[in-house]
Amino acid sequence: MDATLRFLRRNGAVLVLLVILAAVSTAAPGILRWRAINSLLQDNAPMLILIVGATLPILLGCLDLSIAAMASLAAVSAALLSPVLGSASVPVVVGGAAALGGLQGWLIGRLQVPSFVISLGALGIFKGVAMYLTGANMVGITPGIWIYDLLGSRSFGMSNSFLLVLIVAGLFAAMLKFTNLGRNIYAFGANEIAVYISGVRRDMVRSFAFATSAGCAALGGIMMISQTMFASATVAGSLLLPALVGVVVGGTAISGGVGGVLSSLIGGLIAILIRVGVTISGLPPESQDVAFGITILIAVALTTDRAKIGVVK
Amino acid sequence: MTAFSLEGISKRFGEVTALDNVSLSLNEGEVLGLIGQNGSGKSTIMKVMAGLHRPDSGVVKVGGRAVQLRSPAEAALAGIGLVHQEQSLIQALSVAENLFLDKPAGSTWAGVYRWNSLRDRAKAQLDKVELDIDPFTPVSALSFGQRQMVELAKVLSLEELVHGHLVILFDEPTAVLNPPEIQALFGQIRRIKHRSSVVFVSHRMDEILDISDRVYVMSDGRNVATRDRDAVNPDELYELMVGRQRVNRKDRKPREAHIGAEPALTLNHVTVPGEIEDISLKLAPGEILGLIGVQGSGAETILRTVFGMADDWQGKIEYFGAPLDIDTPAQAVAKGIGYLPAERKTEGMIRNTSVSENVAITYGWQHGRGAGLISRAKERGMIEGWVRKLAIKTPSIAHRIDNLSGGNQQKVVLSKWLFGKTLKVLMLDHPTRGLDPGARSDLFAVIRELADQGLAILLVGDTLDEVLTLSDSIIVMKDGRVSARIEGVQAAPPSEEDLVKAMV
Amino acid sequence: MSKLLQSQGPLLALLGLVLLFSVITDSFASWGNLGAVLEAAAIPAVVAIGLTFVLMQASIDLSVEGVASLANIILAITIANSVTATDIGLWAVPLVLGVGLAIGATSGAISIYVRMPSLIVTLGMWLTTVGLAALLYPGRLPQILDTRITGLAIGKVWGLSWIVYLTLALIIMALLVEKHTRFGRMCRAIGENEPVLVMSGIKVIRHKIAAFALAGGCYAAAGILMGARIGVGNTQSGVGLLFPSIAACVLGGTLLSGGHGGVRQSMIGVLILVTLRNGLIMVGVDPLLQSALEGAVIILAVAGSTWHLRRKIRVIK
Repeated sequence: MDATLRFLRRNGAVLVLLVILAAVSTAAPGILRWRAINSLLQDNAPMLILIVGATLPILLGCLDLSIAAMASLAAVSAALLSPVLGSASVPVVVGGAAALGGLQGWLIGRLQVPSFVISLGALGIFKGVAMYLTGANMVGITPGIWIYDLLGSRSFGMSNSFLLVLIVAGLFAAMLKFTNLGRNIYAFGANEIAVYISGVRRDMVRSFAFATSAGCAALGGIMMISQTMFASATVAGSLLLPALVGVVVGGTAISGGVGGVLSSLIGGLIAILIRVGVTISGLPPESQDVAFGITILIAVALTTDRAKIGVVK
Repeated sequence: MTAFSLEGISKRFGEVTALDNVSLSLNEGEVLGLIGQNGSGKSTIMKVMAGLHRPDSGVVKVGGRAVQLRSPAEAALAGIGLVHQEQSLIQALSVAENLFLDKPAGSTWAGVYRWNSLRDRAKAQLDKVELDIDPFTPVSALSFGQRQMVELAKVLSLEELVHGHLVILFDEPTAVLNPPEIQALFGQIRRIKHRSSVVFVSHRMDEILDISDRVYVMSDGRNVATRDRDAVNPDELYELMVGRQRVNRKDRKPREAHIGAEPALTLNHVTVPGEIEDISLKLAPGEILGLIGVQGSGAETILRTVFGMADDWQGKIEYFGAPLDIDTPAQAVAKGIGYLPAERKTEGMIRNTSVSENVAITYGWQHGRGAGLISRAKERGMIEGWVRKLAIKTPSIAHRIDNLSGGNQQKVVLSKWLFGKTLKVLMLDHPTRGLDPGARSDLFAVIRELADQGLAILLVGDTLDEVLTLSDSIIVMKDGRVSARIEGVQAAPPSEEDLVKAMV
Repeated sequence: MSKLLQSQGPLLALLGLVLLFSVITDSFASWGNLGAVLEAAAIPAVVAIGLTFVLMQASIDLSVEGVASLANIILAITIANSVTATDIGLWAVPLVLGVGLAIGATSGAISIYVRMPSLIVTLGMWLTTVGLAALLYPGRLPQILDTRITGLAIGKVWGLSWIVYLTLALIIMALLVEKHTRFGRMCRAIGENEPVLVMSGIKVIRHKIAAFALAGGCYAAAGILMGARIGVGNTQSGVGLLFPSIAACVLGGTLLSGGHGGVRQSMIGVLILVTLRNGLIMVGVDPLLQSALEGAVIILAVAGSTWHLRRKIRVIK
């Protein structure tokens, strides 16, 4: 029983992915065509990069609720900055986002306020600032800036945005596996106090995790605007919950210390397939929210380390 | 008349025997003082009596009848009440609500409180302990002494529910009280004697002698003596409390200590409000300084303050002649200070993680490729070396630490500090707590060897023999202050009784 | 003095804000504007009542927006409306409240029996109820035709709509429940020290599920009042309720770590927030910045109210 459970926890996401893929492709064989896959991946690259970034705070046992608002803010900032800065607007926006994320991580430790409160507050702040910057209107990007064109186009027949997702995910996976920081992130999630007493700099680890999640969110916003050329202050707002679904469905435990970027990517693919499945099954598109809501409950129920929860709150 | 008795009670927690065939009898109207060192089993025996622990074997008798106490509620029905230090009162609720928290019958009608009847009933209980406060005062507004009286009143309210005699257990009730409050509490205990028996646990010998009719001494999970108050000889009690913690002279291998001339660590008048006061000490490279005291004596606080974990402290700490200006463990580690916490499961080991990650967490980067990259291959050889050297029993270093025995887990946590190249001071907080004798003597050998290599070691001992066997000097702590200092321990060892006398 | 400041700080802050805005603007201190503040505070107050009981127990409930939207839609399609043929009259009200109670109880039960943090359970419930609301949406915006509902917003007594009076009635009921029932008294106790209550034989699980159910019921009530105010059933009607209600509870002194606060404090929090919104707009701050302001207020309020609990060894997730 225990062994089965452990096997399911470790490989469950891949199994679920295969089962859903089989089901979806039986119902609609067209989905397996390269072009269909490619356009799905391109459309969903922003969500996938959000998922990749959101993994790190969750590995710590924290939660970053500000990612979608950050993606929207980044998209509108990129649009507003691009006429002045051109391609340089991308590193400026991503760097600024990472700095804001790092600040969130640092504040969690300094103010000792739970991450969901800080990031919920940040969600409101980012949203308000984005609304203010745009005057609640759509803003467009100046055409012809190479970096946005690049992100919106394809190479080797693959969406560049999706390739960027793979590159970023690969880098993070390597960071988690081969660096001291990566080791500290997993240990932090497993037992924060023991890690503190082992001499690890908690604030640094936390700031890094939130900086990456905000940086990735900004990249996601930039990908969105590269594809549609327009953005609004709420363009990415609906991505928060699917992104969290992706992370936890991939097997990264909300209690921290277990999972990884690549698992989250698989979780992200599952989230995409759930969407596709809802569409081809003829259900109204709104049912995907119900599906996501129920999926998140089941996934968390399966992956949470209950030994760590003394009193359930 | 025997009101209550335990016959042949044993209780084990994993590898540790907490109670070993213990018997106890309590007469009606008697105050029994329970005394013993840390880990002697006194709090376990209290919990068995209060229905919080179920014994593995043995019989509990109330009024001569064998009973099963499966929960505090069942104990209450048998007339047994535990007066907690203070934790059982809910501060957000009023005194009256707290008094009847576990006896809700009659307090409410259809879920709505009947305040008037509750007030009258509460008033009656408070009168018993001569506490003149409004029953609807929130507990958060009371002093510690008043809270203790409310706890007592809560237990005494059993009278109306239970026929016959009450047994009232006091678990270190004086720990948070000031002297006048203690005297007030003793007055109440004497008053209630005519209708109840009392078991009173304390770390403090003078209190035990003051209040008890009989003294019951525990050591190593066993009852080693019971004495009437008139026949008590304090020196004999100290001797009895030492129990098996007497150093086996054969075990003692005097260390050829090469103690450095310049201190590695100096504390000058260090105070942590509410925990330790005016602590000064010196620790040299190659020296083992043993700290010992009963629970709450503040020995652990000294270690945690040096390690940058105190929220608020005053005084001066010097590290190799320079002021130690740190605020976090990370800074302490960067300076070369290590700390093995007492709470292995919650503070020491990183659960759900392999042995090797637990060892490499602190210093793994020192054996890496630079630029924050780690080298698991290089680490592996070294970790396996430590596993062999400390005789850690694990199938492999990739094994989860959770699956090892307590002693092996402790060795893994210790080896995290030995893994680096920069450690100069190592602080060990109850390093052998919960270990079996074999693991203990293994760990002793390692600690000695580390000191021989020039490490300065500050040790908070679990037991007398641990401190006596290992230390070059000893500091005894009592109530947050230094109560005795002994130098040259290996050459002229103090007696165990002297240490106990300074502790309690 | 400092004790007074700590216990009555939010009330003093509210009075200070009122005074400040009255002095620096001409339009703040008028009967008309006071009415506007109360009207704006009513629905967030209803939500905050429910949330307070959950927060006092040290749990959290994020499902507000979904449940309120769902309640609003169910009301609009079951009562006389312009789209569906169903009309169960005022029975729609107990139906909707029942749905809210059931959803809340489900969240609580999942959290307790499956041993999952309420944060995640209610996040999932938020998503689920948003989806359900969208699924029930009949394709066209259903106008609520039953004047007994819409009249709540339109009919005024002494310049205030029935929504405000209903809210006041609800607040009084909640205060009575909080002060005089076993459930109400136990909420803060559970947040402070659950293990002791369990050991004392208190039925903690029952009280916890009840708090979530009560919260769900309040969100549903908010959905009904929202329907009265906007006159339609809208899948987005609950959007924007989560922030102000959490901010209000925390502002009033209901700590997220449980054991403190209460209905009275949360109501003061709601008034602070609404006054701040109202006053800042009069001062000339861009309304688009409103959510930024509320976000900052949440962070500052939580940080301020828990500042004295800071310890190095504390684990903050």
